[in-house]
Amino acid sequence: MKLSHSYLFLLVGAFLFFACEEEFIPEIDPDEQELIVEGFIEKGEGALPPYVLISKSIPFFGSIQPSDIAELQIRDAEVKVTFEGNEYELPLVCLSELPEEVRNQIIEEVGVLPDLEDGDFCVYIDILRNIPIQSMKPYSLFVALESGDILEAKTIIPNHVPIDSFRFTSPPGENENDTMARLLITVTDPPGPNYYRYLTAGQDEVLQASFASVTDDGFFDGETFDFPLQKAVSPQDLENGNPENFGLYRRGDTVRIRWLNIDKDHFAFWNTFEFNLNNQGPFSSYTRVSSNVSGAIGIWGGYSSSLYKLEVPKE
Amino acid sequence: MRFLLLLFISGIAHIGWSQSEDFTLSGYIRDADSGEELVGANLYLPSEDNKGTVTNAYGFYSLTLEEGSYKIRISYAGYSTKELEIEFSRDSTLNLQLTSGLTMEEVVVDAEAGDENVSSTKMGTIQLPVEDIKKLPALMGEVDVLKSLQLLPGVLSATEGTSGFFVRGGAADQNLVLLDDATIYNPGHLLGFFSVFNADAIKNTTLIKGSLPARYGGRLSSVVDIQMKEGNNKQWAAQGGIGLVSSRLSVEGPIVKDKSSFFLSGRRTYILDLAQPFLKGGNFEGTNYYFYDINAKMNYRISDRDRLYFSGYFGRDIFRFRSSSQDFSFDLPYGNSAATLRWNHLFSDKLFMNVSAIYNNYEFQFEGGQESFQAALYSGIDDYNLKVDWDYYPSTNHFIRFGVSFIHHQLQPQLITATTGEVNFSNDLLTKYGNEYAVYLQDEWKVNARLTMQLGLRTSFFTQLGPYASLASGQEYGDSEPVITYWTPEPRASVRYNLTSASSLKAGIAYTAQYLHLVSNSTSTLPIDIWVPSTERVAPQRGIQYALGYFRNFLSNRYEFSAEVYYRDLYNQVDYRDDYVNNPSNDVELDFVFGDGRAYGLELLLKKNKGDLTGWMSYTLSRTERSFEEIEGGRWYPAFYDRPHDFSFVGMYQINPKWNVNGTFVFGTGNTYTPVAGAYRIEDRINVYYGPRNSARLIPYHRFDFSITYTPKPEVKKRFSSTWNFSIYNIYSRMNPTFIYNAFDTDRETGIVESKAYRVSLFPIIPSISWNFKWNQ
Repeated sequence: MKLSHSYLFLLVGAFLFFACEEEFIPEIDPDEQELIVEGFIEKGEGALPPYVLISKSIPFFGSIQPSDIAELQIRDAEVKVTFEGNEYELPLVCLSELPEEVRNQIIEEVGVLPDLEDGDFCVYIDILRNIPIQSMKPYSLFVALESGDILEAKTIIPNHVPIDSFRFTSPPGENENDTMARLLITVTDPPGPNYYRYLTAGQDEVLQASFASVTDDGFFDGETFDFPLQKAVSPQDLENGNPENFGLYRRGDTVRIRWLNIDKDHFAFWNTFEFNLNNQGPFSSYTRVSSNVSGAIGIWGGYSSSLYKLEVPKE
Repeated sequence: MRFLLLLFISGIAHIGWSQSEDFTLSGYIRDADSGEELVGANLYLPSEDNKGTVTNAYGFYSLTLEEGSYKIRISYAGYSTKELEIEFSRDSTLNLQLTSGLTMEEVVVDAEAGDENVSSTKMGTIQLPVEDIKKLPALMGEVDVLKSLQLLPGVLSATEGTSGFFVRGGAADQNLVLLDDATIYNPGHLLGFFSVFNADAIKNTTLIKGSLPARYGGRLSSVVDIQMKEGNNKQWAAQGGIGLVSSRLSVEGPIVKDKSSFFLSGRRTYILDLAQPFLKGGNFEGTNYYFYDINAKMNYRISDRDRLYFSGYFGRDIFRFRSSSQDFSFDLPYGNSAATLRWNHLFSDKLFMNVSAIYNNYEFQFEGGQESFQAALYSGIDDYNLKVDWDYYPSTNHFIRFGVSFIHHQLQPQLITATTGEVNFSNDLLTKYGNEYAVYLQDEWKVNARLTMQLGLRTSFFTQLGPYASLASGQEYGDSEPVITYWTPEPRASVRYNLTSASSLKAGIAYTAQYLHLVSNSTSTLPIDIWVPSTERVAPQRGIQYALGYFRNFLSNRYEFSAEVYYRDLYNQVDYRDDYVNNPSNDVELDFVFGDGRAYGLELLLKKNKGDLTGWMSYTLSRTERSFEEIEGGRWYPAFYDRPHDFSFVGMYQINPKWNVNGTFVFGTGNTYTPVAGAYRIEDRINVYYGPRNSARLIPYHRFDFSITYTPKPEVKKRFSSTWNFSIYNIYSRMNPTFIYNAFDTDRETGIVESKAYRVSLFPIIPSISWNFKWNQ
C-alpha cells in the first residue's frame, strides 16, 4: 500500500540513471552509542515466549563482523515484565544452552545466523512461560542496566483478525512463467483502527518481512478487501532468482504466511523503520524511527498471530 | 506603529498644501518599432533634484510640476535616451516612443542616466527589462530569467534537482512568482533545471527582496513580478530557436494596426522523444519525458482611456513510464496554467486604474498501476482572483497607490483513488477552501531634495471555509461556512536619503503575512509537495524584516556598488514531524509542527553596466535557522539551505560585433544535511539512526558555465537575422553532490556487512548548441 514511495522510487531510479556517485567517509563521533531494544510478546499457535534482546548500536562505517554483533550484546541487565500488578523477571538464556527446537525458532525469528564459535548469542526470555498471555491488556517492560540507565516501555496484544481466504493466480502482465504464482488474500477488517503485519517464507526459507510489511486500515476500515501478498525477497531469491519473479511463489512449494495484528505504537515503529530504510535518497528527509522504548531505540511489541501453511497449486 | 500613522497623515496633509500652480503631463512610453509599452522607464529632470517619475506596469506616466519650462530626459535600459524641453502651462498628454539600441552620440548623455539604483527608494529591488534580459548568460542556448535572478546577492538557488529558490533565508514557498498578475506555484521544469518562463515572451522582470511595498502581499520573502510582451502592434514578427535540448517559437503581430496586437509562443524539449524509436519493441517502449510551455497574449485599445488585455499560460512536465514485462505503467503530468483578463482605465491624467480577473492552477497527477491494481493521485491548487489597483499621482512629491484584492483558493491535497479487482478505495480527503482579501494604501513621498519615504499599510484577511470537519472538536462545517478567520495589519516603511548625487543610504521595515504553505518533506522541492491553506490548526506565517543599505555609483554610473544588511524574524513556520511517514489516508495537517525562524545577512554587489565588458560580482554572507519545539526540543538548527557564503561572478564580453562571450562562476557553501550517527540490527535488517538535524555539510558547490554567441552579419539590417549559440554547463565538470545515501552489502556466507556512504551528483559537463533567429515584416 505504499503508493507514495513506489512512484518516488521510480522517479529516483530514472534520475539516478544519469547521475554519478562517489564513495566517501563521513565523520562520526565514535563515543556516542545508543541502546537498542528488540522485544516481543506474542499470542498465537506456536508462539515463542516473551523475549527481549538488548544491545548497543553499531558504529556505522566500515565492515561489521558477526562477532562484532555478539560483542555489542548487553548481558548484565535486569529485565522485568509487569502484567496485572505482577512482576516477572526474564532470565538471560544463551543459545548454546537451549534445546535445538527452541534455538532454531529463535534463530529464525530473530534472523540471526550466528557462528557460535565467534561468540554466543544471548536473549532475555521467559523460558518457563510464567507470564500469562492475554489480549487487550497492557504489558510493561522495565530494563535496568549496569550503567544505571533505565529503559521502559508498554504494549498490548490486540485482538486477532484472521485471513478469510487465499487464492493463487497466474502472475501479472506478460510474465508467462507457469512455474510461479501470485497470492491474493481476502480479509474482513472490523470497524475501528486495526494494524497488520505479515511475513512470508517460501519452501526451505526463513520467515521474512517484505520491505513494506505493515499497514493500517485507513483505506478499508470496516470493509472486506482483497489484495496481493508479495513474498519477501529471500537470500535465495537474491542469489538464484530472476528479478521478474520477485514477490511470486513457486508452484508446488509449501509456503508459510505469518499474519499478525499489532497496536498503534508497534505499527508506528515498523512504519517509520521501513520508511526510513526504503527512503534513502535524494527526495527524502531522514525519518526518526518511532521507538516505544524510553531511553533506547527499538520496540517492545505485542503480536497476535496466525501461521498459515499453504500448498501452491501446480496449475 | 503610531509613529508611522502620524507620518502618513502628515504626508497626506502635505499633498493638500502643495497643490497650487501645478500642471500635469501624462501619457505612455512605447518602443518605436513594436509599440510595446515600456515598464519602469525613467523621466527625470537633470537640473532638479529628486524630481521625476517612472512608468508603471502598463507604460503609463504622470508628472506634475509647477508652472514653468523644464528639460526632461527619458531613458530606459538598452534604448536611446530622449531629451525634451517641455512647457508646463496646462495639463497635457504626451506619448513618447523610444528606439532600442544606443547611437554613439548618446553614449555620453546615457552616462548620466542609469542611477536608478541610487535614486529609487525601492531597496532590495532589481529590475530586468527586456534589453537587460537579452544580455544575460544563455544556458543551453536559452536565457532563463529566474535562473539569472539567482545569480544576484541574497537570492540563493537550490542544489541541482530542486526548483525552488531562497531569498534572504526564507523558504522556497515564501516567494511570490507572478506572471501578468497570475500566481505561478511551481516555476520549474525538470526539477528546477529550467524555469517555466520562456524569455522570448517576457517584457520585464522585477525582483523585490527588501522592503515589500504594501501593494504586494501573501508571501514573506520576495516577489518576482513578470510581465509578458504585448505583441508588436505595427508589424508581424517572429523569433525562436532550435537547440539540442529544446526549441521555441514566438509569433506576434497587430490585429488592428496600432490598436490591438497579439503574442503567441511555445517551447518544448525533446531529448527523450528522440530516443523513442530505439525503445520500440523493447521492455520500456513508451517511456518518455518532456516539457512544454505555451504563452498567449492579446490586447485591445478601446479608446485613449481604456485598454483591455488577455494573457494565458499553460505548461506541463510529462513523465511516462512503461514496463511491458511487468505490465506496469504510470503517467506523471504536472504543471501550471493561468489566465488573466485586465482592464486599464484612465480616470484623469492623475488617476490610473487597473482591474484584473485571474484564474490560476497548479496540479500534479499520477496515474498508473499493474494489471487489476490501478491508482490515481491528484494534488492541486486553484485560485480565482479579482483585484483592483489605482495609481494616483496627485502632485510632484507624492505617488499614491491603493487597491483591493480578493482570492478564492481551492486546495486539493493528495486525493487518491485506487481499484484492485472490483474493489474501489478512496482516501476521500476533502478539498480545502479559503478566501484571502487584502486592502492597501501606500505613498511614495519626496519630502525634500534628499529624502524620500515610502510608507504603506496593507491589511490582509484569510477565512477558511467548509466543508471541513474540525480535527480538534469534530465539529462539521458546511459548504462555504466560515471555519476561522485570521487577519494581519502589515505596515511597510522604507526611506532613502541621498548623500550625494551618486550615493544614498536606504532603510526599511516590513511586516508581512502568508496564508498558504508549501510543506516539503525533503531536501528538495518536489512537484508532489503539497500546498496547504491556513486552517483552524495551521495559523498563518508572519515575518518582520529590517534592512539597511548603502548604494554608490562610480565613474558616471559605469559601476554600481551596493551593500545591504538585513535581519528577519519568521513566525509560525511549518514543517513535518521528524518521525513523519507519508500516510495518504490521513489529513496531512496532523503531521505538522510549528515553530520560528530567524535569518540575517550581508549582501554585496558590484556591477559594471557600460563598455564592452559588463557584468557583476555578488557576495552574500548569511545565516538562516529554525526552531521547533517538537524537533529536538526546540534547538536552533540551520535550515538545509543555510549557506554562509555565496558568491557569483557574471561577465559578458562583446569581443567585436560578431562575437560575444559570457561566463558565469558560482560558489556556495554546501547545503546542510542530517548525518548518520550509527546503525543497529532488528530482526535481520540493519537500519541507521541519525545525529542532530542539519548538523553536517556537503562539500562546497562551485561551477563555471561558458557560452559564445556568434552573429554572422551584425551590421546588415535585414528582415531576417540569426545567431548561433554554443554553451557549456559546468565546464570543468565538477561533481557537485546533490545528496548522500547509505548502502549496506551483506556477504551471505561470512555474515560480514559492509556499510558505505555515497555522494551523488547530477549534472556533469553538458554542452549545447542552438540556432536562434528573428524575423519581422
